[in-house]
Amino acid sequence: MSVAALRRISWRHPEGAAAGIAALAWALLLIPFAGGGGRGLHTAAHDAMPLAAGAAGWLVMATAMMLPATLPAARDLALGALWSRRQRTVAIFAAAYVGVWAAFGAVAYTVGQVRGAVPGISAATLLPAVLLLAALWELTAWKWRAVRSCHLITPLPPRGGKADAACVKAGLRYGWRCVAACWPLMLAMAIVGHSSLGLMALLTAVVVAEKLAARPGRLAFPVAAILAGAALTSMAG
Amino acid sequence: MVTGARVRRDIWSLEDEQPWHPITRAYALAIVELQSRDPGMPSSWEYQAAIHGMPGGVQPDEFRGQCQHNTWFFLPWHRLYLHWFERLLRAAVAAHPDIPKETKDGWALPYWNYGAGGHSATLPEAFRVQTLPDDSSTENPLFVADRNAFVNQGEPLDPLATRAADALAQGAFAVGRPSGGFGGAATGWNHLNQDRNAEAGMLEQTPHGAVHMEVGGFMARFATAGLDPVFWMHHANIDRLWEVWLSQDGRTNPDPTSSWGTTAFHFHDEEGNPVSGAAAGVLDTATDLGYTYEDVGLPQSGLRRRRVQSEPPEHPAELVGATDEPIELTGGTSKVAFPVNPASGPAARVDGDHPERVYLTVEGIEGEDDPGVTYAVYVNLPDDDDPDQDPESFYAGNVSFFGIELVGAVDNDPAGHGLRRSFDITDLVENLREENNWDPGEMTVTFTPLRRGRGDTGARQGAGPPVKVGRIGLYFQ
Repeated sequence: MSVAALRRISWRHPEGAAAGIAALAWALLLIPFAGGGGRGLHTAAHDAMPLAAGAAGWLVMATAMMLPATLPAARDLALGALWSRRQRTVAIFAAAYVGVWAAFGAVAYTVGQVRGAVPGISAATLLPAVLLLAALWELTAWKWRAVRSCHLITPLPPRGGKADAACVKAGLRYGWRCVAACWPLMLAMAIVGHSSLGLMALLTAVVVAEKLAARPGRLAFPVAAILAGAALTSMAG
Repeated sequence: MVTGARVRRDIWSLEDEQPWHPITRAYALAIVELQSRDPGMPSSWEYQAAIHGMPGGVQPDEFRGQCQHNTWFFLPWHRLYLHWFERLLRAAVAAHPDIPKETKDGWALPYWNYGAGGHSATLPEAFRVQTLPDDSSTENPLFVADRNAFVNQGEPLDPLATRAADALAQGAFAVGRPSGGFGGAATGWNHLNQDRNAEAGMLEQTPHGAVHMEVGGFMARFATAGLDPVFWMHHANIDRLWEVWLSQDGRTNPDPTSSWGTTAFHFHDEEGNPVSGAAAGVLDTATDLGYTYEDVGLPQSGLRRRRVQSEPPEHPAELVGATDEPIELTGGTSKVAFPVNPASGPAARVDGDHPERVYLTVEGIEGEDDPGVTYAVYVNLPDDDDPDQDPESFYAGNVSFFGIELVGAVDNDPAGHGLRRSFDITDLVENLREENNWDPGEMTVTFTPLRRGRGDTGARQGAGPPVKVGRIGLYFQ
């Protein structure tokens, strides 16, 4: 592909860098499975700095799973920004959005610590229950109100601190709606961690499909069935 | 003309020949028949209106709540809709004992060519009297009380609401944001604005949207528009204007093998059997659908037509200025100003001061319901200037709000991104430059209600809730 063609693509897709970061996050998550010293490094990091490594792992996982479905919204905002602010708009919006999921991770970690202190409740017993909860959540009106609310993006002021502040607000609002829609899915990932690549891929596909569908409500029953199936599989496993 | 094709005639051409022309009377009698049917039957009047829209924007099945707006499917979906409705009416006309055979043989849906000027911009008396001419005990189904009062009083629609010149001047059928071209942006299925790329074409905005809202009442909402017999004549005219646009040199439809041509939509035939169709199968009205129009000549408007626009450039448009804060439209005149930057993206590589295209956008439109007002939008209108005296010098287009009741309704799938409107103002900006009315560093935008100063504006002000506009933007391409 020529440089001119690449430039034209970048004009049309100012969210390209954010897409690259999501891809990089997936690559990082694959390192422990890539052979060589990757697994050792991963284990050593968790042994040496469990809290920091866990936080970093969560952040990378949230970025890999949730950022792809956010790219069209980031693109919309960027295409409606002054030319000089396109990349800045994507960066601020995505950072605020991932920040919301980071906060969710902190809450999930705290709950996990409390759960760990309760005897008899392990990740293996909790995961099927949370996946079943996610399946039931798919069948509620609250879930779909939150998904549809993600479509409501307010145009930003054009320049200056006002534009930055509005962009942060847009990212936080979008992130909050996303948490309201997808919290059981990420709760499941908080239980199993970022080593469950299969579940990560499945739930990412669910999130992307739900966020991008023109009529997302039609996905309620199929996705609920898939999640219930995943719950049964995890129970059997 | 294809032998055997029926001719859809101008309602005023019919009514000028003879008040309550047999075609008009047959239309009324056929509607009476449809209205007598069980509303659950696909061939009933209520069901036909529900195909266009349902309360709350729901889609209970693949037939109802399906109208396509703010998309390149707008024209083909409505053509299919009208075709199956017309067949239903023709069957009712054919079966009616009080309609003469010669009327039955040639009956086709009339169109309302409100843009022709003069009395054509008023509603014929047959749609404004409460009883049928030969039976004062039978309610006239063509009369609907729920319209703006001035319409039922026989006053004309504002010439800006009926103006098709700007739409017909568009060179391309489908253009991506910030403009929708002539026929709307390429999207998937899109009832209101589910698709992220949703953008109305110029024809859908004016005269389509403006006439919907200016007739008002039932016509002003998705779910009730089809309950007003004017709706079908209005859309026959929009369908006719598609043919008028195509009759100009260089105008072509999108590729019929693309998703535009192949996406199927679902209806019922006159027997109640499910049928489906796509744009590719309805592009030649005479051979594919068996009808033509009485007149597909370019409108002879007193207003100057904009120069014909060619295909837009390949590079994307860039925002060069916008308002900082949302504004609220409450029925009166509103004016905002904002700074404009020089282009710094691809548009600057061509000529930053003279971009190939200039677009004005009205974004993030929100409101609870029909505000009862359509606004004309002017660029750099001097404070002491009366826009009605010279609408061409500063006029960008109309902002009307058809479908606004569904914006932000998150209980059903039609919830969507805020409503947007856009205007190709390339030639307007060139004119402003020539007249020394263009400031490269600042722009003012003025909203004035249509039919300003004609007596009824005050009565309509405050009738509906205010409308919030998130941002007004200027784009160079």
